[in-house]
Amino acid sequence: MDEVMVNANQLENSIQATAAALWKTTLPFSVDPVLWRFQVPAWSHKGTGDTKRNYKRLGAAYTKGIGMTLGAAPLLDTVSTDDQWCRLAANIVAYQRDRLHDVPTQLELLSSLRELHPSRLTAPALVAVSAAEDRINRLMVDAAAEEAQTGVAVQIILPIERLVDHASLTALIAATPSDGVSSYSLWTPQVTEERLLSDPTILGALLRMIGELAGRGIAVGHQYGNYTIAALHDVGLASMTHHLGWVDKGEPVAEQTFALRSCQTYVPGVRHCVRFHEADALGRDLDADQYAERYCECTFCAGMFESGQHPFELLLETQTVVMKNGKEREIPTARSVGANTWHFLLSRRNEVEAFSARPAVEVIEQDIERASALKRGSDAARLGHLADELKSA
Amino acid sequence: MTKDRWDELLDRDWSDAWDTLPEAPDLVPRGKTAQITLRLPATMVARVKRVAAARAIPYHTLVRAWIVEGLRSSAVPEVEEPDTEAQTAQLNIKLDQTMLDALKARGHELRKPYHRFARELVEWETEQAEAALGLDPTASHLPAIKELMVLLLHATNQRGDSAVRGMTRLQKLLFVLEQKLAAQTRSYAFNYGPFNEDVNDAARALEVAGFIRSSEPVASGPPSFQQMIATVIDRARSEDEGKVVEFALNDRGHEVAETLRQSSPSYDQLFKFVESIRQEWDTGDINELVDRVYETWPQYAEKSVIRDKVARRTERRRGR
Repeated sequence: MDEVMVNANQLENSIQATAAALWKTTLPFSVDPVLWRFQVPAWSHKGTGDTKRNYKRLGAAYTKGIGMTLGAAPLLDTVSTDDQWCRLAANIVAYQRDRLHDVPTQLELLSSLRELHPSRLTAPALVAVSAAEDRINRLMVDAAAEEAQTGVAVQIILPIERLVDHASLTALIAATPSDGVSSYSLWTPQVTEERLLSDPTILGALLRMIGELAGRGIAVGHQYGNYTIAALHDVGLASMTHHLGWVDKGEPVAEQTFALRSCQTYVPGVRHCVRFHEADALGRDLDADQYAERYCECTFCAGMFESGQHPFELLLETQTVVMKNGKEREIPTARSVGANTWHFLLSRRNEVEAFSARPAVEVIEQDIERASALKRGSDAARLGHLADELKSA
Repeated sequence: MTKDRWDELLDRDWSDAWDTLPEAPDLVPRGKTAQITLRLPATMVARVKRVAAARAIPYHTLVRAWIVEGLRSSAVPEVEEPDTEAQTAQLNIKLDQTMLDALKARGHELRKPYHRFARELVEWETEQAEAALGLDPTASHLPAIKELMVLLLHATNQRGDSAVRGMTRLQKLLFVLEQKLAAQTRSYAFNYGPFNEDVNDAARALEVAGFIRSSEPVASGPPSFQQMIATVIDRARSEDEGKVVEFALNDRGHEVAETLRQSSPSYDQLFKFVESIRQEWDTGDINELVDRVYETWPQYAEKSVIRDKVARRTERRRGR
């Protein structure tokens, strides 16, 4: 990992703790303004229909001096003029630049901590549903670059319907500005890794999008990336941001409503997550060396073996909870969630490092061998499909 | 322009005029490679921040702009007698080397150390800005929650214990502190009486900073297995139902709190006040603390889901 991306929602939720974490690390950081959260009221609302507390604060900061309230109605109905969109974009750039400046108290001033400046400023973006959003996104990029007085990072949030529509995707690429742009960051909500690999139209469209944008000489990154996305390094993807959670839901725009975690764990040996009982069948009987060779070579799992325990003692630990309807449900324990977080992050780090250092096809071929050793023919075939697509690209 | 005038301008010797021209600004902004550290009273830093907040710009940027403007202007700041408050806070302002050199030259010209000149500029500009913005320089302001929390955890209760057991107790003690300090609070009426989510945030911030007893320092590089397993166990502990979390400063936390206390007479005074409140209000039973808070500030208990239960408990206590 070489940079941290902080969601603006996280800043509003716990700015002191976030700032403390940023002071602790020497890594650069940037702020994702998540303006798209206000695009549809439900995306920033609680179950009761009220705007969530953090988004209320965020909306107030974004609309300072414009005289409007975000969250009550769809954003396209709330912001009515081009001038208002430009002022909104300028406010959002100012927010990213200044929000953390108010944090230091006398405690920090006595310690001479570094000033917290984001490494890049991001132009706010709407989910690019149609040409109407494309036009507004373009306006906001120009306004953001003017406010930033430097190139800005541009988010392109691409719904699946548009990704698979060749003409619509062509229009979107044409409408995406390059002046005043320092980098692009793609996000394709609802495109899970499984869907990306099983639908050649989706993978093809994504490859085309990356190729055309990278062809402009501007770095292209992917937000909410996974193993397959990391493999696209060879076709022009320069960076990848990924979530802390390991269960791939394609990161939909709408908020997840399930409060309980499901019993799934990331299996580096097959490069996706599976249910606990499946993981148990794959790796329980492996000794430390076999486990590292076939299942996972992360330092957390290695540390568990060294301390005399199989990593599954923590990774697959469950508890039973009784739901409101009286039914029982098996969920991971807090220890399991903590252990899986480390195991997943370390595995992802290994994957990104491998794709950065070696040709993607070579890495995938090695992974196919590993999946085969775990007797997972379907996963080997899945990875083989990815290798074929990359070879033809 | 006529041709004669054009020729006359081209023929003229401009060498003398050239030397008197001001230096042109850079086409590309220079990097801020130098820094000036200004020692100021803590209240002055708070005033600067308030002006910056009112103008919606970062305070470092504001101070840098004041210094640049001060160097461009020939006016000398008119400052009153030196403030008797100790200059215990500091501001680190990044400048480019040319600007720092200009500051030193101006200080030399005025026969005063350049730090003092810069400090006077900041004080003078703050006064001007406060007047323009209608801000009262003497207005009381509540210290940051994090500062109050550090001082609270540095102070001891009647039993000589500095740890605070439970988030409810921490929330209520900080609420009482604010009310007693300035008859105002950042808390609001919620499900269990006065509540301020910034308290949870500040507690987590102190933990991340490595000032709380159970917290492991966060490493900037990849963590060791021991560090990872410690976070796993810690996570399980904090989610353990019925487990009361204890908030206590570790040695480093107490050291930082002590530095804060000694940083100015006002913080020393604040610490004494915090300790007196802790002695008076943190007397042992959590129910007793909750009951007293509900009774003293009933408007913060209006939305409480346990209001009736607390009222009955208070009645019983009175009847005893």
